[in-house]
Amino acid sequence: MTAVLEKLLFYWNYPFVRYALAVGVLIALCSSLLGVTLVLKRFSFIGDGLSHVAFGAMSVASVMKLTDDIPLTLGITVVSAILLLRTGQHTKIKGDAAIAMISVGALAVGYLLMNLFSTSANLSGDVCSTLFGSTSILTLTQTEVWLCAGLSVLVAAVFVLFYNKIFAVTFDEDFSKAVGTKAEVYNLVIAVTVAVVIVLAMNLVGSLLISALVIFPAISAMRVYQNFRAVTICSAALSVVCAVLGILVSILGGTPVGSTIVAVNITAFLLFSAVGRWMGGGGG
Amino acid sequence: MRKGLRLLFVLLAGLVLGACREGTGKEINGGIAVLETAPRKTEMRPVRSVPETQGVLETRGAGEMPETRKAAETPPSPAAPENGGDAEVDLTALSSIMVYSEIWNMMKAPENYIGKTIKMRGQFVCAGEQEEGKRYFGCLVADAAQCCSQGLEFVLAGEHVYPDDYPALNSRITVTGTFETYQVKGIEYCRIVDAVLECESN
Repeated sequence: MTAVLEKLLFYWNYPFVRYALAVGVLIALCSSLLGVTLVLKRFSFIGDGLSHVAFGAMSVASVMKLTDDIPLTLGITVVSAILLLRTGQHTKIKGDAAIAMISVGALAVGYLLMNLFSTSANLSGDVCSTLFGSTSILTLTQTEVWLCAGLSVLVAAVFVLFYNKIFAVTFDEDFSKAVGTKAEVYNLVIAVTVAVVIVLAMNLVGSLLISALVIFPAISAMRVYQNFRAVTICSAALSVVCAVLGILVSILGGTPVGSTIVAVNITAFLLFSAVGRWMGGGGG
Repeated sequence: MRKGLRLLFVLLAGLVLGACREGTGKEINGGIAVLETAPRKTEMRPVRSVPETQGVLETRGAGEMPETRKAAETPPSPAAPENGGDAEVDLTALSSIMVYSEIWNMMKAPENYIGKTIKMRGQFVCAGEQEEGKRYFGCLVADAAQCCSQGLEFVLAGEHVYPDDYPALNSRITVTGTFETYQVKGIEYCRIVDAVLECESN
C-alpha cells in the first residue's frame, strides 16, 4: 500500500497527470448531471449517437487539416443535438431511430473520409485512440485543459441556473408547456449542453464509451434513491469518484483510461444494485 | 441543492487552478525536483503515432518533428526519483500508459529534456533511406491499447556496424543515453545520443 501511495505521489508530479485528473473530474461531473435528465427522457443513447457525430466531425477537421478541431466538432455536434433533442416528441422519425441514423451515418462517413484522405501515418491507431480514449486524457495541453475546464463550468452553471425548468421539462413536457414554460427553449438548452458534454467526454473515455459515462452513474443512483435531487447529487458524486479511481488505476496498472473508467462504473453499478436490493428499494 | 452545487463549483475551480500550475524550479514533496519551464524556440507538432512496423520506421518517424505550429504549452515533467538509478528521466519506472504520455510530452516540448539522461525500454526498430544509405535506429513503445506507438531514435556511443552490433529487429531493448534535438532540412528531430543498449532475452 505504501508503495502504491509513493508511486501515486511520484506520478502526481507529472503535469499531464494533474491535467487528466482535473479535467476528468469536471467532465465526469458534467456528464452525470446531464445523464440523469437523458435517462429519464429515454434518450440514454444520445451520448453514443452524438459521439459518433463528433467523430465524423473530427474526421472532417482532420481531412481539412485544421490545427484545432474543437470548434468544428463542437459546432456540428451542437447542430445534431438540436436536431435530435429539440424536436421533442412530435417528430416523424422517433428518438431511437433518429439517433441510430445519425450515429452510424456519421461514424461510417467519418471513417471513410479518414481512409480516403488520410493525414496520419497510423490511421488505425488514431481511430482506435479516438474511439476508446486510451491516452487522450493524458495528452492534453494547458490550453485544452483551460478550454475543457471553462466549458465544464459553463455546463454545470447552466444546470444549476435552470435546474427547476430542466426538472419540469424532463418529467412532463406537455404539462410544462401548459403552465407557460417555454419547453422548446429548455429543450434547446439541454441539447446544446449535451453536445458540449459529449465533445468534452470524448477526451476522457473516447467515442464508443461515452454512453457509459452518461448512463451508469444515473442508473446506479436510481438503484438506491427515488427523488430527482438525491439521484442527481448521488450520480454526480459517484461519477467523479469513478473517474478519479479509473484514472488512477489506469496510470498505475498501465491500462487504457477509457475502459478502466467504464469498468469502475460497472463495478459501482453492481454495488449500488446490491445495496438497493438490500434496502428493498430502488427504481428506474 | 443550489448551495451544494455552488460549493462544488468552488471546490472544482480550486482543483483546476491547482492542477494547472506550471512546474517551478523548487523542491517539492519527496525531494523530487520539478524543472523550470523553458520558453519554446520553435513551434512543435507532436508525433502522436508511429505505424506498427516490421522493423521499418516511417522516414525519421520515431523522432520526426514536422514544421512547427505553436509555442510550448506543456510544462516539464519531474526528474526520476532518487532511487539510485543513473537516468534523470527513467521511463522504465513508469507504467506503459505513462511512458506513452511522457514520450508524447517529450516530443511536444523537447527543450525541457535536452541534455538529460533518458532511459527507456521498448522494441528495437530500424529505418533507412536507401538513397543516402543511412539507417536510423529507434526504440518503440506502444500505448495501453497497443494501437498507437511512440518512439525515440537513438545513436549508439562509438562506432557500430549494422546488423552485427545491433540486436534482432523487434527485440526488447533498454536504451540509456542523452536527449538532444537536431535539424535536417529545416525540420527538428529528437534522439538519444551516446546511447548504451541492453538487450532482453525473449
